[in-house]
Order: sequence, then C-alpha cells, then structure tokens
Amino acid sequence: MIEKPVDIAPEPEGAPTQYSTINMGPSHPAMHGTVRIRLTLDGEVVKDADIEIGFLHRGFEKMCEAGTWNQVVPYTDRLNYVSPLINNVGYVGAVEKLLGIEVPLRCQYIRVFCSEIARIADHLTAVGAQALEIGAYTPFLWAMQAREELYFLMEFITGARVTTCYTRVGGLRWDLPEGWQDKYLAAEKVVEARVVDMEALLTRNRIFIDRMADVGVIGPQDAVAYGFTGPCLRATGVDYDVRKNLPYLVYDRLDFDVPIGTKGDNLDRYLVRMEEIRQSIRICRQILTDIPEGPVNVDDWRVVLPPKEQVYNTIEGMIAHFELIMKGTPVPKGEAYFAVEGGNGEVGFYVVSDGSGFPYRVHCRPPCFAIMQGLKDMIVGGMLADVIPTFDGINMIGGEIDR
Amino acid sequence: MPTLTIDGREITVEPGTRIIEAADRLGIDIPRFCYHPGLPVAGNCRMCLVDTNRSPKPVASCWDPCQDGHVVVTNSPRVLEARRSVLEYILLNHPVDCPICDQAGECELQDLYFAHDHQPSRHPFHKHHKDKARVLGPQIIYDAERCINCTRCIRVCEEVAKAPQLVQVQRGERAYIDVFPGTQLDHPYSMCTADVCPVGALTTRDFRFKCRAWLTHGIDTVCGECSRGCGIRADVYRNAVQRLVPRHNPDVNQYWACDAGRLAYHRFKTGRVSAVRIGGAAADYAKGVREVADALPGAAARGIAVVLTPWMTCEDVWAVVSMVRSVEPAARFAVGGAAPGASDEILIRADKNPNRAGLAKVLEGLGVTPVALDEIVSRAPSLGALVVCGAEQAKADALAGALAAAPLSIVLAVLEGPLSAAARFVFPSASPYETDGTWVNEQGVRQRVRRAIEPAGDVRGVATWASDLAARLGMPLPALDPAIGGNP
Repeated sequence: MIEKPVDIAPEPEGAPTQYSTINMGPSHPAMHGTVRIRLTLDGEVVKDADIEIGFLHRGFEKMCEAGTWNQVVPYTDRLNYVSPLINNVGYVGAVEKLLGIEVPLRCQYIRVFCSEIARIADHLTAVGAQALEIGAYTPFLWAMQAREELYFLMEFITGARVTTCYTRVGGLRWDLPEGWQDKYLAAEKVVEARVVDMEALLTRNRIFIDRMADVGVIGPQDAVAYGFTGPCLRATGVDYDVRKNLPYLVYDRLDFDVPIGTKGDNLDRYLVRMEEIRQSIRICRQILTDIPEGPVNVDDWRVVLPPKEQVYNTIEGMIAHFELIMKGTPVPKGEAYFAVEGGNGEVGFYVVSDGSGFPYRVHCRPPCFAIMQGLKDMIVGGMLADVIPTFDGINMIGGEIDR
Repeated sequence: MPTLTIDGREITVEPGTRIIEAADRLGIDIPRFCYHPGLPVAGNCRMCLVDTNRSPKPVASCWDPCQDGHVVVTNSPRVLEARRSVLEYILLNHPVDCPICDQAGECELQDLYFAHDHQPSRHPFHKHHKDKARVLGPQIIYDAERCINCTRCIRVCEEVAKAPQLVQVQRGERAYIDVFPGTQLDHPYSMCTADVCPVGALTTRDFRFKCRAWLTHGIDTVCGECSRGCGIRADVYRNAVQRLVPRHNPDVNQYWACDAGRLAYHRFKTGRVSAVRIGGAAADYAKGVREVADALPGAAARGIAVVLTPWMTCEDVWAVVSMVRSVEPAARFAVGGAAPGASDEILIRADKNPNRAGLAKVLEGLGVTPVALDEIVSRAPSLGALVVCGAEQAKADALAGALAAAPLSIVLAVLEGPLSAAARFVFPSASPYETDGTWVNEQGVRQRVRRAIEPAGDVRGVATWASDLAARLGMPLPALDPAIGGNP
C-alpha cells in the first residue's frame, strides 16, 4: 500500500491506494482492558472504528442471585477494580434503600472517606496511564507510587489492597482501625507531592499539550445523548456530579467544588481529573475533623450480625446469626435504584427483591458502558497514534463494562 | 355463613372456621407453634394472638371461631408486642443448640424469632437443664430442653395414630413430654411426631446427626410400600436418600405417613443387583441387550411368558408388554408381586404393591387379559422364554424353579434373591427412588413418581430396558397413549 501524506496534498485521481484494517486488542499491550477495536485506516487517519466489548463477561449479575444480599459485596470489588470501595458503597446503598434503613452517621462519613480515597486512586491511574501512552513515563511511575500509598491505606482499613469487600448491608465490616488518621495523612503527603510533580511535568508541557488538546473531542450534547457521566461528561462543560446533583450519605455536609472543562478533549479530561484529586483530598481533610464517634452498624439483628459473645452464649444471638448466614437478610419485596459518583461517573445499582434473603435481580449501571458508545465519535477522523491516549482518557474498565 | 374482615380484607367462611384458617385462606401469615391444620386445636402456645373488635384482650386466632362482623387485626402494635413477649418467654430456657440441632435450618422457632422478635436476651440467669436424649421409642429420641410444650406430638398420637402413648408431665417451665412408665412410643406412625415438632425436641433415629437439613434437596415422589401411595418427599444429599418425610396430599394421606414406608429406602441400599449377568458371569449392558434381542425371536415360536409386578410404573408395564408383543403377539402375561402384609384403618394397606390399579388399567388399555401365575409356572419347561420383572415376589421359590426350567430366562431385579440366582439373564433394575413414572393407588389417584437419585452402574428402569431392547429388535416403541396410563 502506498503511504499517503494526508496533510500535504490531495490524493491523485486513480492512485492505487486502499484502506487498511487493523485490530487493536482484545489482547494488546497498549489496550487498557480487554476490548477490541477494529480500525479502518486511511494511512494513519482513522476512517472507521468498530468497537467490540464483552471479553471480560463473568455473569456478575447472575452470580449475585446465588448468594445472600451480603454475599454480593465481594463481587462488586471486581467491577471497577481500581476503585472497588465506591462499588461496595453503591451496592449496599441500593439494598439499604430497599430496606428503608439509614446507617449511622459515623458509617456514612467512613463510606464517603473510603469513596474519596478510591476516587483519588482511580484518577491517578487514569492520568498516569494517559501520560504513559504519549511517552511520559516518569509521571506514570509517580502516579503509581502515590496510588500504592493509597492501596496501603486501603489494606490498613479493609485488610486488602483491591479486594476490599468493606461494606455490609446496614454498615461496615468493621470500624476504621486505630491510627487511621496518621496513615491517611502520610498517604496524602505522598499523593499531594506527586500530583505537584506530575503537574510540573505535564500541565504546561508543550509536547503534552500538543498531543492532548483538541484530540478526542466530544461535545456536551453528544455526551449527554450517549449517557456520559463523570469526568468525561464534566470535561465537556456539563456540570453534573451525583455527589452534588443527587447527594447521598453526607456529601451535602461537605464543602467541595466540581471542576468542569470547556472543550471535551483529552486535555480537559486530564485537567478535570487532576482537580478532582485535589477536591477529594479536601473532602478527606474535612472528614478527618468532622467524623463523629459512635457505632458503624445499624442496631437491628435482622440486618447486622450480632456480636460474637451473644452468638455463643444466648439462643437469641445464635438464632439471629444462623438465620442471617443461612437465609440472609429478608429484604422487602420491591425494587430500588441507587447511584453513587464512581471514578468514571455514575455507578448505579438496580436491585429487585422477592422478599427473600437472596437477591432476585441485581443490575449494575457501569459508567464506562455509556462512555464507550462515544469512543467511536472521539477517535474517527483522528490519528492512529491518538486512539490509545483517547481510549485511556475515558478510562474504560473491563470488569465494570462487561460484568 | 359469617363474614369477617382480617387486616381490612373481607372473607366469608363456613360457621365454625377458626380465624387462623380464614387468615391462611387470605394468605395473611399468622405465626403459630401449637396449631397444625391436621390436628385438633390446643391453643396453648399463644403465638397466634390477634386483636378483634369482640374482645378487650388479644385472642388466640387458632381457637376463636369466625363470627359475623368480626374485625380482626393481625399486625397492631399490641399484637406485635405480644408475639415478642411470647417468643422471649419460649426462649428463656431454650438451649444454645442450633449448631448441634438437627432441626436447625427448618426450625419454626428460629424463623419466628427472626421474623417477630429479633432482640437480645434479657435473661442473665442460668437456664433450666433437662434430659437431652431421652429414648421414647424405637424411632424417636426426645430432647426436653428444646421442647416448647406445644403438644402437637401428643395430639398426633391421639388423633392420627389413635394410640395415646405420649403425655405431658410436670407443669410450667418444668413440663416435658414423656411416655407412660413401662411403655414406649412404638405405634406405626411414631415418626410423625418428629415431623410436627416445630423445634428439634423430637428427632428420628433415622435422621439424627446424619445430615444438615439445608444440604438436602427435596424430591416430591410417592411411597411404594403399599397400595395407599402416600405422598412423600425424598430428601437427597450426595446422591443418596437421607430421609423420607410425608408430603401433604388431602386426597390420600393428609399430612402423615407410616414409619415402615419412611424407612423403606434403606432396603435399596444393600444387596443390589449392580451389573448385568449372563449365565452367572458379569457382562456389559449392551451385550446383555444384544444377546436377549438375538435369542427372543427364536424363542417366540414356543411362546413367551412375562411376569409383571404391580410396583412397576404404568410406563414400565406398557413398554414391556409392547416390546414383547412386537416379538410374539400371543405372549402370555401374568401378575406377580409382593405378598400381602399388615394393614390398619388409617393408611397402611394389606396390598404391599403400589400400582396394582395402574397395572390393571394399562393391561386393559392394551387389550391384555392376564393369565394365572401358576399357569405360567407349570408351563415353564415348554415355553420359549420366561421374563420376570422384579425379584421381590410372593411366589419367589416357584418362580425360581420356573426360571431354571425355562430355556431362555430373564430377570429384571432390584435386589439379589432366588430369582436373580436362577435366571440366565439378570438385568439390574431401578429402585422406586431411581425411576420416573406413574402409579395409580387403590383409590384410583394417579400420582407421579420422581427420580430422586441417579442410579449407579448399569441400573436401568424397566421401561428403559424394554425400549433399548425394542430398538435393538428394530421395533422402536411408540409414545405411551395418555388415555391408557402415564403422566397427564
């Protein structure tokens, strides 16, 4: 095939050229997540893109029907596995909405705190990898270093770096461990320092801006039409954040700003995420001072396991424990939808109960499923080399999109 | 016909209907321990209290008859508080036994506590201690600590088995259930006391410490121990029947089943014919079918006789008769079966064969007039072939002699015995828990038998064997005409 310089001269009449087709993914070192993009190229210009998802389908929603309501929580870790705590919070929020219970204030603060550190980890991954795709290797390593500190913190709180499984219907697995404030502040110090470093290397970097600005553009109307949420939507200038628009837990008591972009290009998405990291830190700082003392679980043995000394020594505790483990929390018949602001946008859980201790149906609304619909618009007409950074900018997570 | 309102829903019932029955009909759940729809009302547990407009205090809905203009409320704060108090009282002396209790997982006390009480204990003192494993009879062991004294078991003995063997002794929190001195709980329906027990106080020796209730899955089938055909549920774990429990069937057995029927599954655990045998040597199933298919047409010239047994399903009978008649249209059929046994006026019938009525119906539908069993026995040496379906025969010795005398002898046997020793071809056959099909009981009730466990090795149902043979003979069987028998 004759290489065709697109910017220099129009193609001569009758030149013996043809489009070429290449497969990106599903298994490709540059693809983040198992997804296949079948590209039709005119030289290096993307003429068409056929995006195929579904390679990571595990039957998450069907699996959820096999266990009790609480046994679904570990599955939610595997949705967006970069910010699993947000998924934990979102799922139990839906079940609690159906149960009609409100968890104690301390639990609400802890859930928000966990969501925000998970959000920082998510955004660090997205911007670090995006920089990596266009040759900036150092910021990626810095982002990973900062994320690692947050993973240490999550491990300290939940017992696991990624498979956190921290929330329970009606509360949490346990309260925050002793000394969590110091651990958080140590992690925050590293994150703040690395964010400053990354901004110094990237935000005013000519090469970076040339590669990012006006690349992967999508307008606000298209974004809304596709169902975009999260940083990708805010980058187009639409001011929508579940934490502000449909406040849940204690977000309405916390002071934070929602950054928005103007053009909806890669650079805007990068800038929005960097600012959201700072805003999340701001939220965590408020929680550090505002968090009240008190229980983290609701006081109801039909929902939360009784304390062990009651289980081993009284028949009442023993029965409650047995029924909760064997038959599950009885959730009233009905359906509920509950959404939280995830790393990539609105993570919604739609749950249906037939009145038993086992879910009748659990559906997850993953943000990147809607965003992936717009990927074609964002890459067609652009250069082949921009496909990867744009794809990275929407931060598709295979575990979440395919479920 | 009184018309009353329960929780705002109106219902008209026959005079004398209790409130709890009317509520059950409306699908309104009133918790209960001592009330059982198959037993007379005792009204002692106080769990079913409801508010009515006819009484200043809550009343026991299992006892109070419906009256015209009654307004019943089953979920007022006072009723909910009463339930809570009753449960707290019942649990005062209840042992912390769930991990070692056979009832855990199907315990009414567990479920009702969780649904209606769900609060911590306020009882800081030691609990009463009573007998933990009192042997009441050959099948039943009693744990007095777990007992909530609902007296359902006493009423089962008195009203269902007509054998008043149990009694409540002592009073108040010291009360417990016992047999009279020098006697034991040994009537033929004693295991029903464990079924109705809402807690784990009465347990059967058969199921005690054998398997956790939640591990089993139940298969609804029919008991084959007599011609009554009581509905039973086979609880299966790891491809083995762990217990049989009666299944509610208002037309046949109400809520009950006899001990003999419930222990019958043990018979099919040992002494099974497990492999095909030809002339005493173990053989492949396919080889057995092939050799029989090769020999049968030659034997047809001298006549083929078949002994059917009334425990075969309608489908089995139909398949065997159709297959044999496709080889020899004038084949003779006789009806064997297990010997008659004990009977009573309740559920146990003398005819120990579950499908005599169904077998007769299928033979009639196929236009077969059975001959006497003795006629076949006496003619055996002159026959071409003798096929006996089922080794449990009242006239086993005579049939064994006939099999030895017949030139081609075939037995389909579940258990080893004189017949499987005498026949040249022995095919392992499925037990009633390993087969699907239809039985018709003595009342003419057509019921479905379901396969609860997968048979091992070369064990096949009779119908499967007959259709394999027919296929080998090149005469595949048509579908069973539902008008003759078989599942609706």
